[in-house]
Amino acid sequence: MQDDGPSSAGAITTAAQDDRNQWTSRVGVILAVAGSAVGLGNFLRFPGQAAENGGGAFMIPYFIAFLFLGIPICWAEWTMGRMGGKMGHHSSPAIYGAVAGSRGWRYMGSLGVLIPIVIYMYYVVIEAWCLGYALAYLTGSIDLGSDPALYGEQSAAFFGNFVGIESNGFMSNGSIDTSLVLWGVVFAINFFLIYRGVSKGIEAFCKIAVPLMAVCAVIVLVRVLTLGTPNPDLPDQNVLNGLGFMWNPKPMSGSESWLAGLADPDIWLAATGQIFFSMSVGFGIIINYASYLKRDKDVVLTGLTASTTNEFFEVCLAGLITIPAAFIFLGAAGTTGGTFGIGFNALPIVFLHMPGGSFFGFLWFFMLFLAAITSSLSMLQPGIAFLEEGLDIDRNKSVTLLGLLTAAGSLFVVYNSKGLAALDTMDFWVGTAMIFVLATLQVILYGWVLGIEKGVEETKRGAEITLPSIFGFVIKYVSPVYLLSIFGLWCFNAMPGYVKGLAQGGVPLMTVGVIGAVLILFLFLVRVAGKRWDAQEAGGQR
Amino acid sequence: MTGAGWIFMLGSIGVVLGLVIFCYWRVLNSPDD
Repeated sequence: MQDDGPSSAGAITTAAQDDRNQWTSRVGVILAVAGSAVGLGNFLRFPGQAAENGGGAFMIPYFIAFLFLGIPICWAEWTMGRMGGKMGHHSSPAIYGAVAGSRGWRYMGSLGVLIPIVIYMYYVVIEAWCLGYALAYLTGSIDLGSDPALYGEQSAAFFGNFVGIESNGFMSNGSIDTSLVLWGVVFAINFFLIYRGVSKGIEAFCKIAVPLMAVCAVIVLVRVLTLGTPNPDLPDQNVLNGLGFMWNPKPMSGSESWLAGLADPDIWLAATGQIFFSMSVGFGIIINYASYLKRDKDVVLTGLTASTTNEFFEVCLAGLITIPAAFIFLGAAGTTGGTFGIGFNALPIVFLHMPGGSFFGFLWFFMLFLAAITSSLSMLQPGIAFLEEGLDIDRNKSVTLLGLLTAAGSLFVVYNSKGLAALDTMDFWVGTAMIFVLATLQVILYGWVLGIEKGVEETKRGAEITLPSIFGFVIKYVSPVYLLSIFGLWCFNAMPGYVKGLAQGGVPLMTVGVIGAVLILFLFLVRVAGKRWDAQEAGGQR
Repeated sequence: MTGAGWIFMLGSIGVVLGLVIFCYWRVLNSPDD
């Protein structure tokens, strides 16, 4: 699969030697990658998925996916990123091209820029909701009325008004939507931090934000675990039963026992999907972050530490907070509704019932805001890196260009808020489908194009813990088959509904048009950048 | 909360906590940091 394309020979880094564009400490890069991975999915999606898909039994396919898919792909991505960095590259198109020694792979690498940028366009909107809810708790402006029977309706109405779920536009009742103002604030914070660079912006912020997130989560956890039986009229809704609802192994529908339920492909699809999306593999982010590592620095221990930090937030904190809290106050009915249903409809009711609820509500949504901003920051850096090294422009210009592009895309999402159609469509096609594609490309690139022997040798370089000997076999054979099987099953289950939705036109079709336009733009820019890289190599400048 | 529930909960948390402690212990004791 190799051609006579770009070579790594003689590639000398320029940007990598810039101190602003290198991590200053191991802990810094670990917290930055962990901050990128820890997001709303950890706190809201994981508990809901586990409770709905076998409870404790969900953890069996979950850990298998962690070992055979998440960790191997993660190590492959870290390795290729570090290889790219040594050659002076920081963006997926350049790194893919250099690792494969092929110009064609540069175009496939364009997905590693497109995916984080498009996800940023809608993720920053959700980030603004988290900040809005945190501020609402701080100022006491969440009012769900005085009739407990109507709390659910009021909470859904508050969320609907806040995000403009009933109609498209930037205005409501003659004034600018609060969510639009918050979007502007959050957008500006992101770009201020990203402008400061890898070490002074991302690393410095994550070193504060990730530990702060853990502190906020532990405080909320202690509160939840000490709730006892808050309503004596409902003695079954207590802490132990809340934990039981989350962790007791349950049979999947139609199964006789939880053990037999493990034969149900749905539980494997749910668990693998959770691991896959939670660990930020296949986003094009790890490969970019790893490219800022110093030469021959360990990637095995560093990658594993970042991944396990993500798991700590997901299993040890979210697994004990979200579902038990919702169950204690709302019963089983409060634990359904997906990520947004649990996060923005059910939990506000929980905090309303909870003693000291305003304080804990603020802490919870502030923590979600921090989780979101450490993730959204990581989505901008791959685009910045590509514009800088592909178009040979400085950080001011690359930040400005990316700011304009993402502002246009994000405002499209904010405007088309009715039924969250634009957000949902981007999440499906880019935040889910394209991630599978990019992860598959990465596994093929590492295991088959670079070659497993060379790949493993690269991964082992500088390793501070022993790379398991089975890793080469797993990443070459097991991970691709596992990935393609899950992707096939997911396409079979989810794709028909979305394709049908597109056929009806409207916002979903327009959104796919926006994604297509961004893709064409980046393919064109990769072509422009490629010519520049080729010329530099021919002239021995790079 | 059933016995199996306790096993799954404590087992999962134990595995993750064990990994986290091992990883950070190695990282913080490496010459870099």
